[in-house]
Amino acid sequence: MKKFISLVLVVIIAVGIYYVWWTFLAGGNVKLYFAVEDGAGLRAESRKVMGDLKEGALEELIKGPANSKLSTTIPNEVRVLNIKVTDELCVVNFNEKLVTNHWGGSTGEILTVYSIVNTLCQFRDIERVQILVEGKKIETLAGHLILNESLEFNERVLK
Amino acid sequence: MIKRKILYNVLFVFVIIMVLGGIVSRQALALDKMTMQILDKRFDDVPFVLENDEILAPARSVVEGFDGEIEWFGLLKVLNFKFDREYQIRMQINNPIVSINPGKQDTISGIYDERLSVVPQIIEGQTMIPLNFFAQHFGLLLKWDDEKKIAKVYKPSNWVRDLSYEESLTGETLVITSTKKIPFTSHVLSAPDRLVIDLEESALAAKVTSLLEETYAFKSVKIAQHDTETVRIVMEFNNLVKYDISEEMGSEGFILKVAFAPGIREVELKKQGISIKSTGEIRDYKILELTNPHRLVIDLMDQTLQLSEKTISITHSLIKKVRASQMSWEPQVARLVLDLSDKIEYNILRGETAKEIIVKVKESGNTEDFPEEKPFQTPDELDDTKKNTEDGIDIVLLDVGEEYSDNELVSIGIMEGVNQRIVIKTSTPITYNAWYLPNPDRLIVDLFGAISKLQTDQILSEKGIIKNIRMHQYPDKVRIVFDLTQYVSHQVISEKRSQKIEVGLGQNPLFGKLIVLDPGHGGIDPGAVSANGKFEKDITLDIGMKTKELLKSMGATVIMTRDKDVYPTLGERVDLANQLNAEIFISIHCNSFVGDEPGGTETFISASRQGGSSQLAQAIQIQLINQIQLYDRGVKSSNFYVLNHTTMPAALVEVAFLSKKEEEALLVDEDFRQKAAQGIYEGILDYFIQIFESGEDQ
Repeated sequence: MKKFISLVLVVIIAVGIYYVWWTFLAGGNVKLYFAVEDGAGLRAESRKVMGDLKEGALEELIKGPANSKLSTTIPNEVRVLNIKVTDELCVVNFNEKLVTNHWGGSTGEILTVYSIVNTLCQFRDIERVQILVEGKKIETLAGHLILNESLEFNERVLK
Repeated sequence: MIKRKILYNVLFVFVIIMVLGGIVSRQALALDKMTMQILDKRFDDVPFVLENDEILAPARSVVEGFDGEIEWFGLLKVLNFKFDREYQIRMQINNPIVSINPGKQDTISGIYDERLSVVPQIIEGQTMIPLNFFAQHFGLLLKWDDEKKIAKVYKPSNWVRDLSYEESLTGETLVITSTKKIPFTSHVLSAPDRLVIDLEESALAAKVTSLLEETYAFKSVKIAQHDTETVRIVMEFNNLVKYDISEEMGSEGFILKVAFAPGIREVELKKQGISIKSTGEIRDYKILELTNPHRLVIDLMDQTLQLSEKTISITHSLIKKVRASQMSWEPQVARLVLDLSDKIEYNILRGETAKEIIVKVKESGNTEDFPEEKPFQTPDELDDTKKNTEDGIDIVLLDVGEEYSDNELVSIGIMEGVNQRIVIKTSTPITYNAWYLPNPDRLIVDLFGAISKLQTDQILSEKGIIKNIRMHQYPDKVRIVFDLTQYVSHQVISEKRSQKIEVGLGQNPLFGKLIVLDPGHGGIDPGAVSANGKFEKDITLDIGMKTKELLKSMGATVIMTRDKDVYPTLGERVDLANQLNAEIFISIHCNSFVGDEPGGTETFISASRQGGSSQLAQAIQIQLINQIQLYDRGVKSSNFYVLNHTTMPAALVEVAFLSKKEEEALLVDEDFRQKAAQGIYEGILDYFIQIFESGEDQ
């Protein structure tokens, strides 16, 4: 009987430890910047991601918001090919779908670009973000914004 | 065992080094090296080959220079280049045909083939492609320094930005417009007869296309980038012509005019007689009657012959046929000979315009007189209401007669100039009042105690901002109403009681302003695409053209970055505005986002460069909302290419959301687009009024 109780205790403690690890220690909470419904700007939503926080954040950003009042900012088919951070500059490389499947428009372009830039700039080691498509710099995404230069966190677009 | 493995590895690496080294050293021996600079990117020790004066450079370096990427299909030896967005260029080794945007369905205007003068080839294991083809394709110039072996690809200092055609009393004129004053040369080639004009130091803007119409002095005008720094225009003629090349500097940039001397273009039988039409004014002619056989010879002075047939058969009881020839070139005399069946009497009438005369013939001996005809007048005599004042300003007066009673209205005149001035003359000094009434804009002048015998049909209809003049005789006064297209201010210049009443109309703030309008996207770039497949590029072009018409009607000079479905690069659009030193730059777009919720109108300015842009954007946003009544998203700032790189106040208008169903329906509606154009126009007008009132416009 004692053996059984101690077994149960061990299990409970194990579950407890796992729970504490899962909620407080594993992965982390990240802010994801999605568009407010009318496209007037971006608003952060918190989400827990596992593994590499930057990659995880971008993957979750592409998946779209949990809050029904927010709207997705990146076409579904977009994939992150790689992320590299050097000297506070984050170079993030997407597949061509970022351009080919984009919906266009100034609002559309700003919200896509700054949801990526603002989401990445929450990390301490990132000050600026350079977006690449298939490994190359692009002049612009949809014909308005300049993208062959790196961009920093944009407060103006927050709502 | 392990030792042996290491040995193998070392051997393997050694062999690889040998092989690679062999290739490298062989290349080093075979190909010359140059320095290649593409815009701000520099590549040293680049192998190159010169073939027919064309530089072939390694595909990889070239593509890197232009920020593109490359795919190689070894089996077919096909090179596929991709540049920003989806723009594609496909070449094949040893094949002179290049496909632009192959295999695309949605952008018809963007698909075409071009022919290379030097083919891509593999030399010493390197894939070499013609550098100049790419430079030209991106509207850039290539300069080759043979001594230092430097190939430099750079932005041109001048854009040839328009090729158009004008008709006037002086004849037909070809007008070539470029952003800056440039040296040019011209020469004549024969068989077929051609005139070639080379514009130096220039690149050809994407929107300029050849003119291929045969009904003019020329058969065709072809324009193309001839070599690195020369834009060549080749005119092919139908007939021998006389022309004069002149240049002038205007607010629109540098203008080169090829003026063709007037030529006889049409001879045909009409109701009144034989009509002779020229491309310009027919000023003077001589007529000679010959007998045995009966002929009528008409020598048209200062005219060339531009008829497709030299003998014209005519079905007429008296005239058998008309023969045409160029009598002389210095001076130019075109001769028409009417072969007659009998002796005739004739009369020469002026046609509807000064470009036409009509030869009326009848049998000799017929007693019936010719009906009363207008005698031949020179155009100077035609318009006898036009007189020049001492200071050279054009003044239009309407005089009624010589004898006036007291307080009688003598004339209503409008002095032209930057400010229009109304001048009303009376026979004796009178008191008057000049005042403004809005909706619609009118200026009213009451002449107290005056009488008028002026007929309403003697009153001018249109002059500058004056749309119409109306006059009413009241028992105690004469009221003159000037309907205005736009009112800014007015100022009474004359004394309270005067015989010559003068009222100045405030300056039209748009007059002479140089405005660059940029309809977004175009050509290979459709911009946003709606759920029903409507392209942003088509809507922006239409709103842009409508806005242009409104601005032009107010005397502004409007330059479009594109006026058809082509894609000038963002850099090209900005260069145009900067080189012309335009007053303002307005880019017109339609917005788009996800879902049906986002909608409304917004206007952007640069986040890093303000300078008047904010005032301009505010004015446009307010007036646009006022017209189209959509949700006001406000004026926002963002780092847009065309806003950050232009040097004048600049704004980018997002008229409405193509992604929102309701607004898409509006955008495809012609009336809505007209309203949008009206809003943008009113905003621009507001901006210039503000500038004018703040006195910055002096």
